[in-house]
Amino acid sequence: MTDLLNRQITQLAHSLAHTTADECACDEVDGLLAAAAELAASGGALADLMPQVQRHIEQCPCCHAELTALLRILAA
Amino acid sequence: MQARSNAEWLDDLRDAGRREAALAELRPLLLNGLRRGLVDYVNTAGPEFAALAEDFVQEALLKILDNLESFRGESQFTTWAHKVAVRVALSELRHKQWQDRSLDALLSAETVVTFQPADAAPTPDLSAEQRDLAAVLHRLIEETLTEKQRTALQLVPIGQMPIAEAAERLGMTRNALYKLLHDARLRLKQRLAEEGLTPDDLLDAFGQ
Repeated sequence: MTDLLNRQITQLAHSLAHTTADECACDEVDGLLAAAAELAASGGALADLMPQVQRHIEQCPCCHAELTALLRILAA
Repeated sequence: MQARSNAEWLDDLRDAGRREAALAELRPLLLNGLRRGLVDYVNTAGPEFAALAEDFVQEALLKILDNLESFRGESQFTTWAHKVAVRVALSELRHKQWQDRSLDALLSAETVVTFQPADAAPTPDLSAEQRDLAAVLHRLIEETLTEKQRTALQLVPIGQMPIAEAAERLGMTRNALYKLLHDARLRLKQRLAEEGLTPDDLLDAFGQ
């Protein structure tokens, strides 16, 4: 592998810092995302109420973007 | 008009005689949802978005009808339907954004990323520390990860390619690529610990 830019090392380090053994994958989160969005939209803290979703979206920008879009929809 | 309950949505979409009326009600809900939900990604007020959104919603409606059994009733049916539409739309938008960038180019020598000091004028000590840490990180990546894991790592957390797009390029499902990356991150974090290092040590040296 080629050398890494500082910025890229930082991105990788952030990713490693949030890595835990019990992360769930995209399919499982997909099944929870609508409920997670409703929870968050009603003021619930995902980190407390659905920590597995919170951990996943910290690692997965795609699922994070989908949750953000859902929150915008529910906020209207 | 009284809002349908989850059960009524499911019953109506499953019933051939009532399906079209239910779809006619669901379609504008999803279109309005995409207009609100995608404002961070596209100009949803522009005329070109209207046609795009129609396509997204059409595809989403087909997926919704094909996957009604996967709705577990843990949310409002309409929230679940919005989620399907959002995934369709964002997948397409990401694909358009990345379609001109070939996998080979992303992994080729032309995109070689070369370690450089982070700051314009780093202290000599910090620069030396950075170089040492980068060398350790590179060695661990080479020693610990499979070629497939290294490629995935280079594309997603390092290259910032969306995982869904990288999965498509690598011929994998998004779920399988996430698991591959998770295993790679766990192994790398463990090997860092065996070297007496943590991710925070890297962040401290290279900047938050």
